[in-house]
Amino acid sequence: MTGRDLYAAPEGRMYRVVRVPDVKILRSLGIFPGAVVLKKKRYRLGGPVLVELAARQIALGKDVARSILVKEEA
Amino acid sequence: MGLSTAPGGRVLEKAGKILLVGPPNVGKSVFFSRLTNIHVISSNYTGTTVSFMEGTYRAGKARYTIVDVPGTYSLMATSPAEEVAVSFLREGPDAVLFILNAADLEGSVKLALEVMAYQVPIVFALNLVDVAERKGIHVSHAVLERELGAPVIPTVAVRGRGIDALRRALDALLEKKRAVTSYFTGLEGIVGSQSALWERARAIAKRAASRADRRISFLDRLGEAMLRPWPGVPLALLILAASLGIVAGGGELLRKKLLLPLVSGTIVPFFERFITSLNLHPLLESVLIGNYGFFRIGFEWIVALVMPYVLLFQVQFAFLEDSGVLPRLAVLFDGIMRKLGVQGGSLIQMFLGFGCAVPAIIATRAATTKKERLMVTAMICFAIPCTSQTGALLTLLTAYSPWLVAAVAGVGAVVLICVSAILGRAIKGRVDPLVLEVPNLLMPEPRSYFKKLLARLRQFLAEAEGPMLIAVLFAAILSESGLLERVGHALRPIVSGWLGLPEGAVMSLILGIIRREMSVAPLMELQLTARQMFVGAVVSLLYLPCVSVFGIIAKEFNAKMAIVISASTTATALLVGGVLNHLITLFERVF
Repeated sequence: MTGRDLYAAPEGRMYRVVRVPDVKILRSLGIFPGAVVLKKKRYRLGGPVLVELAARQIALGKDVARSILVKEEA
Repeated sequence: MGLSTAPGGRVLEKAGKILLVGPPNVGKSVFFSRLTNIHVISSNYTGTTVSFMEGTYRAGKARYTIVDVPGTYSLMATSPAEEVAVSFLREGPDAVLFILNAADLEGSVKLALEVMAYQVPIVFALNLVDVAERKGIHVSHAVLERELGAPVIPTVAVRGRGIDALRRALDALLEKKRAVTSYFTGLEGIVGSQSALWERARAIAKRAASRADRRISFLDRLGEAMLRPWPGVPLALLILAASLGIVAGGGELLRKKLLLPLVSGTIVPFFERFITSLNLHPLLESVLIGNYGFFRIGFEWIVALVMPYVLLFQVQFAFLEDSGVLPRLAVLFDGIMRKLGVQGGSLIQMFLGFGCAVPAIIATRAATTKKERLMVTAMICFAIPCTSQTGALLTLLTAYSPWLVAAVAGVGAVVLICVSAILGRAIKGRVDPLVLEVPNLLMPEPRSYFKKLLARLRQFLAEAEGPMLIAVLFAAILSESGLLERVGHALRPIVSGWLGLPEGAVMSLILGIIRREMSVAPLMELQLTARQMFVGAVVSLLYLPCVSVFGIIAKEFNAKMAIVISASTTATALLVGGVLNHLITLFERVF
C-alpha cells in the first residue's frame, strides 16, 4: 500500500497518512498513520507545507513533508 | 543565576501546589496572571534549562503555590519541557487546573487524557469559547463533564469571564483534599499509544462539539493573510522593520530627551561634586570621575545608551511573541533559513539577537539539536548587532550617509551567509526541520503581557548588569591609568596600519571585548573619515562577542566554545576590516 509524499501531493485536497518518519512531535500533534489531513499550501523556494488537522494548522518543513507518505482520501 | 529556584522554592513558603497544565497557545498565562497576586517569579526547573512561572493562589485562608507548567502537546517526554511537566505531575500536586481549548477540542482533550492517567484531582477550564464560536464550533461543557468525569467551566480568560466560577470549582476541589472523584478509569489500555489516545479524544470531541455558523473576525482573516507569502512576506518585513525602527528611533528619543540630560545634567555632576569633595588620590579620583571615569561612563553608557534600547526591544518583542506573529515569520522564512542550514524557528532567536545576544543565546535552548543551537549562536555572535549597538551604529553612520548603513548591513549579511555555509559543513549532527503549530493571531492580554515583560526585564538586569558594570570599571581603569595609550602603541601597526584607524580607535576595539556596543560609542568622539567610519563599524559589528555574551556561551555551552567563538569572531573582524580598508583606499587612489 504505497503512498505518495505529502510534499509533492497537490494542494487543497484531503489525504490519509500512510507512513510517518520517526519525528516524535508529529505523533503528539496528531499526525500518525490513519490520520486525515487537508494539505492547504506548499511554500515556494524550499518552504514548508501547511496542513490543517481538526482545528489546528501545522507547518511541516520540506524534509519532514517529503518523508510523510499519504494516500488521497476519497 | 538570577531567580532560579528549585520547585516549591524557598521564595514562597512550602505550600500545597496547584499545577496549571494545558497545550501551548491556549492562554494558560492569562489564567496564571488572573489567579495570582503580583508576587510572581520566573524559575528554572533544577537540572534543566526549562523555565516556568510560580505564584501564590489563595483559597479562602489556605495559600497554595500555583505553577504555570510549560505548555506541551503530549506527556511522552519527547522534549525537556515535557519531561518537566511529567516530573511535576509525579510530585503528586494537590490539584491540576487543566485548560481545554474549545477551538481545538480534540488536541486538548487528548492531552487531558494523558494528564488524567496520573490520577491527580483535576478541574477543567474550557477556554477560548469565543474563538470557537467564531470558527462555528459550539462545545457543550455539560457533555464534557460527563465524558471526563470532572468539573468543566467555560471561560474567556482574556475578558475574565468564568474565572470566578473556576475559582469556586478549584476551591471546592481543594477542600475535599484527598477525595478522588470518579476518574475516567478506562485509560489503562490506551495511555501508552498516541494514536489510541487520539481516537478516544476524537470520539469525545465529536460528542461534545456541534457545528454553528462561522463568523470570521478581522484578526482571523489577518492571521490567514499573514500565512500567505503575499501579503504575508511584505507585512512581515514591515513588522520587523517597524519594530527595529521603534527601538532605534524610540531609544534615541528616550536617550536624547530624557536619559542623557538626566545623566549629564544631574546624576554625573552629583557624583562629581561628591567624589571631588573626598579629595582622594588623583589617580583614584580620575578613575572614578575622570572623563572616562567609572561613574561618568557608567551612567552615560549603561543608563543612557544600553537601557533605552534594550527596554524598548523587550516591550515590542514580548508583544510579537504573545500575538502569534513570530510563528508566522518562522513559516514564511523557513525556506530561506533552510538554505542557511538552519530552520524557520531559528529566525525567532536571531531576531531576538537584535535585542541582545544574551537572551537570544539563552533562547537557543529551544533548538532540538546541538548543531542547530551552535549554528544559531555563532550566527548571532558574528553578524547580528544588539539593539544598543544598532542604535549607536545608526547614529554614527547616518551622520555620514544612509548608504553607509546599507553597506555595513550588506557586509554583515555576507558574513552571516559564509558563517552558516562553513558551519553547516563543519559541525557534525543534523538540524531538525520545522514542525510548528500555527496559533491563532490575537491581541495579547494586557495583564499577562505586563507580568511577562516585568519578569523578562528583571531576568535581563540580573544576568547582564554584572558583566556591564565590570566592563565599565575595566574601561575606566584602563583609560585613566594610561595603560590604554601603551596598549595603543603596541597595537598601532595592527590598528592604524591594517585597518587605517587612528590609535584612539584602539579604545573601541578593546572595549568591544567588554560590551559590544561600547566598541561603537568611542568611535563617535573621534573625527573619522567615511572610510574609517565604515571600517570601524564593520569591525565592531563582526567583533568578538562582549564579555556578557562570552559569559553566557561559557555557561550555556562551555568555556572552550566561548574561546573558539571569541577568537574566530575577532579574527574575522580584523581580517574583513583590513581587507575592506585596503580595497577602498585602492579604489580611492584609482578614481
